[in-house]
Amino acid sequence: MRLVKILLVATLLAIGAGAIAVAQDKRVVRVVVHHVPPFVITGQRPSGYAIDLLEAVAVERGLTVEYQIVDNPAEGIAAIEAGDADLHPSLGINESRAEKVDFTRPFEYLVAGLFVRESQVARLQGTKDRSTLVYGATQGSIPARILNGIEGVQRVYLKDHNATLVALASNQIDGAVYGANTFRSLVRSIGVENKFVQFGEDLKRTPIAFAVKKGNAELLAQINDGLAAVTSSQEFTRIRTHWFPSPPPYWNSSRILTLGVGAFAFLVLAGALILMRVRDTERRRRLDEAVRFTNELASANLDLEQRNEEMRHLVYMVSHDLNSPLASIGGFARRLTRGLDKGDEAIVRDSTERITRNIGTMRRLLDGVLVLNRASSNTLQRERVQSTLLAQAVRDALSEALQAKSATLNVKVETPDLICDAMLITQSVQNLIENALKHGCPDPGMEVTLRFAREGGDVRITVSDQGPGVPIENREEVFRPFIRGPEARREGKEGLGIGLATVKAIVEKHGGRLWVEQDPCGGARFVIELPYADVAPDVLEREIF
Amino acid sequence: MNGRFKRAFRVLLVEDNDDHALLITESLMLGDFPVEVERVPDGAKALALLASGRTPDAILLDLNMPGVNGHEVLEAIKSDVTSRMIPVVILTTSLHHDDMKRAYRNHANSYLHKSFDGDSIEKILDQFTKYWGGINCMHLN
Repeated sequence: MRLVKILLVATLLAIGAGAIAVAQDKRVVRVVVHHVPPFVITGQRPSGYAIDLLEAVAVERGLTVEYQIVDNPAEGIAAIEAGDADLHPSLGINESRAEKVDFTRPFEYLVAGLFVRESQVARLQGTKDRSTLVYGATQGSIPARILNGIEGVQRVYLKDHNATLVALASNQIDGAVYGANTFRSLVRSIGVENKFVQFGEDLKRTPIAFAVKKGNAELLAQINDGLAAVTSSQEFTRIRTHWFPSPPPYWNSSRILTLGVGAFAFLVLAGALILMRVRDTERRRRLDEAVRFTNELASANLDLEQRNEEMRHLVYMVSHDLNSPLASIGGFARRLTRGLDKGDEAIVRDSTERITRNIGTMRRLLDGVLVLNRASSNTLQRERVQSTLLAQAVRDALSEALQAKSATLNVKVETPDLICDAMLITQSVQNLIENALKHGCPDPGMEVTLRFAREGGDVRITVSDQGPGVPIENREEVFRPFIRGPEARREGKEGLGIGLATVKAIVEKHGGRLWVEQDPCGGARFVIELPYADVAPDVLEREIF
Repeated sequence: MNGRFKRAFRVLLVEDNDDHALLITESLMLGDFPVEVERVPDGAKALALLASGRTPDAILLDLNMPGVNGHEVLEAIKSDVTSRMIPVVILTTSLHHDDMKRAYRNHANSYLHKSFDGDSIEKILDQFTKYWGGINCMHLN
């Protein structure tokens, strides 16, 4: 009996000790962040390059993270000094900060520059008296320190990165000192990247690291170990490729709308104030620019609304198109049963075939939607692709379809390679040729031509057929996600109308263009134009096929 | 032929989907009524057939069709003096209020939901046949 009691107590103690050990492992780290895309994006939940890195480190070290959001780096540092926060995941390293916080090893570099409105470049270059110029930066940031060192101009410090951009956009300041990645990420997300340029050389290159409270050696060592482990892993490559370079989020509507509405309201207010002093021509000129900027924001909004509308229509069409074959399958299942009851083998066989065919139709529709969705996502894996290999892969995939139409695929390779996402572009070229077979080969024995050529700094892939061509009035419409020809719909067979819209989404993701024109020989000619000279592959060359 | 019936009930089926057309035709033939089904795959052919003088006893019309869509076919039939007295019954997968309102506004005689679940299609076509076939094809004593 006594032995049992001893064993019981020992077990309880062991469990208790284990629980304490487990509880101690889940240390909570209070993290302070401010909005500096693409490192930290303060949405409903902080996201971004530094956040992904931090979360990877937290998982690796068994830590739990709690976030607090502040406006700018100065507030972040103050919070750490006061002991209200333990860590900042994205601070530029400099001497004065190093007196207040301890830095880990750096994981990235911030290159700062002076950014101005594109329309102001000539004026700024011609300005002799620089003391009339006003430059701005976000307070407490590294760019702010850089600005502090720029002599002979007026200097303004804004509350946060958004305020600095809006001040620049509305001509309250002539130039803004910014981290290049942050600036580009911000303007790209609103879609106004064409309106701004860097003025002059890169200003300063600063290493960026995590920062902890001075003297917190244990946490510093933990984070450094975690960073060492994460940055040497596959996960780091994935995180880095995800954020650099990052094409603009395709449907980041709430983000764009919020900034747009804020900037619009600010600009309307600015416009109203300026109107009150309308006799001053200098201010009138500024008003025109602000109005123009407002219009651009409004048209960006309209564009988003149109995309949302297309999405809704697509969902409606897809659900309708899935209903039809589904209903048929139900009907034929009953017919099959009737056939079995009557012992009529012909009916059973015919019903089974029709069921299988309708299932194929649904499968193709879903595949099309999935490819369209994948094409809209952010990740592109660009590689150097041999033109001949791509052509061969497409030819192999379509050999049956070519045979069915007694058509020949004529391949002309005039440029050896292109830089693109291999899987997506192969799929795209395949879609175009399938389309040519469906609509451009009315008679047997016709030819479809696939050509790879260089055009300036781009590569053009063209697919031409000898069919009736696409009438001028339909040349925009064919790329919308829910237009298809009458024959395809009736038979419920291939060509569920998503193919060309998918190709367009994919090509535009690459920063390219897609259009259709009249081939000199009479049929339709679809052209995919992809940037070549100015792009770098995301991954090194490898055998793809 | 059964003494109750003067003749077979002639139905014109306007349906673009081959599978649906087969299921509907077979269901129509399964009832007690003698039914003759003529099927056309689009609105244009339906209008051509009516113009040639071949008058069915009733028309079953799908709404979602390529080319001339069902609504336009209905409008054409009901605005032509030689065809407007033919009963046109809409048979469609759509349950949209807008479609129903538009169909009735264009003088559709009835609006049926095309569903192949269970025996719904047989029940609905049986009612269709008994009503419109009865009016046209039974002896009146």
